[in-house]
Amino acid sequence: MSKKSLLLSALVLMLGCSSENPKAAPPNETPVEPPIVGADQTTQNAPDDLGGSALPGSARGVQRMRIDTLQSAMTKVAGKDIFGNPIIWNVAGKDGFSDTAFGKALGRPDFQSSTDESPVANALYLKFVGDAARDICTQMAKNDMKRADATTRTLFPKAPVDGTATDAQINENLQYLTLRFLGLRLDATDRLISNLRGVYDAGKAVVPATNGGELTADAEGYRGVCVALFESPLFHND
Amino acid sequence: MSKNGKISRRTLLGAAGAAGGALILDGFLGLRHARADVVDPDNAPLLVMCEFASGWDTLYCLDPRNHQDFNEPAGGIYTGFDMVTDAPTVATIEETGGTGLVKPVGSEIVFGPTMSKLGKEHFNDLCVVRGLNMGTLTHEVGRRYFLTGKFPRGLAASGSSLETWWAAASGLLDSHQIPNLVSGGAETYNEGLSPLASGLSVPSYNEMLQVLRPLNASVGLDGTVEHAAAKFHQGDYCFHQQLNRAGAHISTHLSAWTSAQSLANGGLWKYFDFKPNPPAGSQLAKLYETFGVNPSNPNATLLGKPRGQAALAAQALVNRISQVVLLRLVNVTDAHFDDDWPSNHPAQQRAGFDAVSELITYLKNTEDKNGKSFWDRTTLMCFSEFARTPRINQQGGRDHHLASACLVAGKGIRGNKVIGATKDTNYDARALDLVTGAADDEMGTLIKPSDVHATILTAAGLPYEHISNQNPKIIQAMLK
Repeated sequence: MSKKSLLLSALVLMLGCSSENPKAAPPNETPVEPPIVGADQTTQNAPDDLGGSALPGSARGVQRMRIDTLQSAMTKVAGKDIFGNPIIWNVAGKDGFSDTAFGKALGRPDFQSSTDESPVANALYLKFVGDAARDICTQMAKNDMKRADATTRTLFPKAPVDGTATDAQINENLQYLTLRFLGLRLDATDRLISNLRGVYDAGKAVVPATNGGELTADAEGYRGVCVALFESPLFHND
Repeated sequence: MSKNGKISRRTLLGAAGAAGGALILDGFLGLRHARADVVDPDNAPLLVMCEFASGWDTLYCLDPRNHQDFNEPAGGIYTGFDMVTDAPTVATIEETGGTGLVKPVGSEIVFGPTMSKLGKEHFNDLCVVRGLNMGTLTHEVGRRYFLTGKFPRGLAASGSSLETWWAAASGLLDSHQIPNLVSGGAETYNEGLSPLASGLSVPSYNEMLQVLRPLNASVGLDGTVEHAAAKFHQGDYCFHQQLNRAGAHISTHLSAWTSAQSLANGGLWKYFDFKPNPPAGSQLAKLYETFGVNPSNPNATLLGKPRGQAALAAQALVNRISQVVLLRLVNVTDAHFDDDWPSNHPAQQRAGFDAVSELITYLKNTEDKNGKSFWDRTTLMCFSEFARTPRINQQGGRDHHLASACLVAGKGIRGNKVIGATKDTNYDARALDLVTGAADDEMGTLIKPSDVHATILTAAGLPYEHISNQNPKIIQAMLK
């Protein structure tokens, strides 16, 4: 997480983003350039015997995590249950990311018929991420509900979930979650936080009809936030 | 925590997101929808690509020789049919009087012993292309060459795979919920085309079921939360802008996310639920009958088998879920050794070709909304990364060989036709006359996978300008 945080922070500093953080980019900072192809700093053509067309531009091709990395990242973010066991994606008693569940379907190579993974997030990948997120976030919320000491919670340590939380506490918890899930240290007024607050408010509003009494309205709000963060492209791009 | 009757909202949201995403992406990426002549999705050109992975022995199937003439182990070509141990293949060889050649009455094509069912049932539709110069003996290179029609960059695929191009070029991406379905571990590539044309990869129909419905509905989110989450994802954040600058990463991710949302909440899964004992007369019962499935235990015939892959393709095509399907139909085994070549390799080939035969039969016997058979607008291509050597090696198997073959059939393709040839001396590819398809060693042209790609795209009325590094030629003899 800290590596991701550092990387994104560095990106912000180097590239900046004028619409949201006009002071982040020093004016004389050299922008990040991709590696150059060819001695004259232009993209070259391939040799004729290889077809002669333009070589692909040099750019990062990674658009999602490898399955092993995803499994580790989600488990790390989810933390542990009240018994000290890691929270994992549970599918009929098995880890959903294991090869006996959906590991192979997600594209983990078996090094017999396949040796590499697709670097692109496709619908299959994100559908299973959604399934995993809903299961893991529900476990996180339920375990946190059983923790009397708020500081030991993983999903809502910064705000009470008994209906007494102030706006400042809720926003502080959302800031904590963006740091925990995405490695982003954001201001409470950041648009990303305000949109995340929309997810929280939506979950909080519907809980009386849907949670079966195990989660409070506030906890249901954070469960929705948790799923949204796991599904966010910022979680999967590194 | 499940939704109470609000699931349609999520579905609508997903559909709206997908449509909006497509419009945004189209403008953002400057995508090439190469041609959109076909506007009626019920008249869309369909494509089925069947990969026989690991390099097939074409003497068994598409380019056989008479065993009575080529039975000398030290000769240039040795069929080795007398070494085969796969019982059904042995039986076919015996039925042919020991020649191993299957030539149904009326057929201009001579098939090998693993293709007897397909040859007998559909020779009138089939076009066999022989003497294809693969230009490589490396699995990954040959495979990716045939998938894309462009010679790879080192081991890496160059350009988009054919089925992705086909889906994008047809201009009907919004008319199919999974335009490009890829199964069995086949590789699929999208270079610069709409993300909506990218293949959805599943290992088999079993995983297709898991993809198309929520695994655990009890932990779902309410529709209003999904709506808020969608707004959160679609936000124009600084971080999104930065990652998009590096290659449309966010756009691609969000397009896939909206597809995942709408897929998971639709009813498509029912088409891939190959349950026991379907009602008599139902579409599933008809499918089982065509594919020889035991209705009381469908998985025994389908799961992990070429028939299961073909049945998946059949359901995706006739229910207008997919326009193109790429199957790694079967792994014929990389038969370098005597524990594979005489037994497993022919058995796998036969299973693959039998499944192709049943798929063609099913498409022929199923009508679309216009009252026409689905087969009338389907193009089929069966291929492998290369062939195998014409002589048995010291380990009792066959190694990699440059001159391969492929099977093409369907819309615009001349059936009951052989294109090209290999030499009787050493099984090398022979040049051919592009107009007649006959071998022409002096004035002819050596053909490559890119020529086959360009020809079948032309037959389907689609462009082929994406094959940019190959100078592809149209093989006129293949066209009706």
